Amino acid sequence: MSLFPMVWIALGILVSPAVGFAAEPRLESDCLSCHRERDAALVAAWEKSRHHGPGLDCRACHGGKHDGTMAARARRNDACIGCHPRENQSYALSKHGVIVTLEGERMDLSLPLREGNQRAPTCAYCHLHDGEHDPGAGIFPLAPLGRPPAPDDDARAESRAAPCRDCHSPRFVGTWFATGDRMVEIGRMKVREATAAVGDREAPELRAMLQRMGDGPLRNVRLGVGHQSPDHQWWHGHPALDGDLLRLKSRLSDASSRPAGP
Amino acid sequence: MRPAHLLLVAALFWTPTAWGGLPENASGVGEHAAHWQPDPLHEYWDPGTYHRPESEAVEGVFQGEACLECHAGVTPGLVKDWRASRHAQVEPPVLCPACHGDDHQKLTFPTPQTCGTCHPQRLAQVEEEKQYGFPSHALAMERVVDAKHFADKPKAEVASCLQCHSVATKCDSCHTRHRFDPAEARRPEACLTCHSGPPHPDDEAYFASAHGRKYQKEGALWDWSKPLRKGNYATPTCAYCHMKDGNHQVADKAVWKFGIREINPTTAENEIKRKRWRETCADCHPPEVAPEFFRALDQERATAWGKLNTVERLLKSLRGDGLLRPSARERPPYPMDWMARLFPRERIGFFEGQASAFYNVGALERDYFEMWYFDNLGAYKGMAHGAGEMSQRFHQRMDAAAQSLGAAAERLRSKGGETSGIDWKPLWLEGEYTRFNRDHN
Repeated sequence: MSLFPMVWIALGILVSPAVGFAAEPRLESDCLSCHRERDAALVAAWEKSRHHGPGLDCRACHGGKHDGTMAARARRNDACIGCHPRENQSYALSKHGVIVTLEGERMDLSLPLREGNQRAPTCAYCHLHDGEHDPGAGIFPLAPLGRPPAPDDDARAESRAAPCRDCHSPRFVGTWFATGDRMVEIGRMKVREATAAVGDREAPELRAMLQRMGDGPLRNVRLGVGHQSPDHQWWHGHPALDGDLLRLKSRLSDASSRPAGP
Repeated sequence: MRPAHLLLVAALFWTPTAWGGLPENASGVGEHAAHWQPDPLHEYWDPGTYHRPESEAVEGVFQGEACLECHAGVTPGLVKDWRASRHAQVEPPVLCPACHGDDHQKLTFPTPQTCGTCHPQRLAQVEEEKQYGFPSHALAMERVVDAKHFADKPKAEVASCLQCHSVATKCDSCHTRHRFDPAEARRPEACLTCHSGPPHPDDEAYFASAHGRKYQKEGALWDWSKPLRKGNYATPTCAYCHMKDGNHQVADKAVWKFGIREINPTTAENEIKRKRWRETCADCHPPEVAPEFFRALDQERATAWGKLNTVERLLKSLRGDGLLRPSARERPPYPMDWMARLFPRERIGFFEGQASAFYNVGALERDYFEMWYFDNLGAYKGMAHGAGEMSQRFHQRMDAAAQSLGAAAERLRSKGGETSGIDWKPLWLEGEYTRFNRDHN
């Protein structure tokens, strides 16, 4: 047995903290030891967000290189879409997404995410607007999820509209979200109609169809509204829900029907 | 339905015009105008028809610099975008009032006619497109509001239809506001917000083709300020072929009509259109390439329609024997269709209007709708854009759908339409969405 591996490991242990601390923070605590004081509100917002969890630290979005481009790096869509591929599909098809695809490399992402500083919004422009570090605090969620109107709905509507208003008129933004909320609610009606039709039947196949309606096309409608993708509101959304609803009804009513649709 | 849901529905639907804009009694337009009312968002997609000036807004008459000064604070993004546009750099600049008017109580959104005051040639091309009929950019808004499912469904549900079909009523679908950059509209991505998804996967088809693959590899480095002319681009984009030389009409080469209905590709009119294609392809390819391509595409279309017609005949025979259920009597009719109330009939195929019959129908009709509208169009789009493998994949899906529909028909015939014993009427006529749909046009 050679001693070389042991030597290398020992050297590594000795050298890496010194090198690493100068250029590349290695641990979450390395970032927080400075930034908890320098950016207290920002760190506090992050700590109460869904992004604060096992395996997610500052470097997940900002990268590990402390070279003055860390903020700009997290403003790029690349920082988000690894974990949010489905969200990216609807966004990439929107006009916002198209413009970022075409011009993203020329946009100045060193500028803060406010006042229309970038020609079109990247994910972070809306969800982490103006340096917000809790994506749940701003425009998300789009619409109440299966609950009646709540007292904070006005405040929520106000905060979700803020990033849009950097470029769009308040009236357009209000109209967009009001129609969008109704569009999503109509989607929920279809799922509720299907759920009521199944009733208390113990039919795993029908239950699975209901589950698919919610996870698939209903969620697509919501993503389509939030990201302004007509395809997700419509072809991947409402007509797909119609298809699921009628196939489920056909299963219920027709003894000779083939196994439930694709 | 739980009381909480009722409350929510009430809050969402009983004040649809709470944001101002459209008056509550605004009426529909087009063939079924009397049967529907617009959603407030409609104002933004068809401003020429529905825009109402904002009455509570700031009062006064403003000229360009005053608009810019105020809006740099109110909506800074659009001011920055305009400042980077050619409109800001020409002398004299094209300031806000040129397109929106100067009285803040009577502001308008620009329509193609507004843009046409300075760009008359482009407007004339858009207008010229109308003579070719559907499919069309210029007629897209007429097309959408005249669709039976658009008139029938709740308007918030179909609001997204207007977003793409507004290509007929606004110019910023392709060169987005307030930059209005022709270079943006020349890139294929400018088209894919609308030209994607199950019935028109043009994005998938183009990016899978040799043209699209070359674009994806090199396109970011090309000079997109050049016009769409011979020699300027190493590979064609959507606009290079469909809007050659920047011609703002996309219909004068539309031979196969989107693949949506069976056509005769060799009529005199289509020969003229094919000649235009041959000239376009000849910018890069030897003259014999295009005719060879047409032969393959004609062959693909004939095969596809062979498959579709077989299934269409099968469904019509089931209809004849009363085996398609729920039958047209057992499901909600379109509100504007009094003929269908008197003589209910299941709509099978393009010429009977099945393009609207994708909801409130039985599973077999819907399966055929998807075979025709999704799989067939995918097969067509793939072949037409030089993505043969994609076309093959969609043909396999058509084969699978035909086989499964054939098997379902056999089962139906052998069992004589025997049902599960469930009460059909509440199931097909009385659900929460079905009722809401009936009450809201």
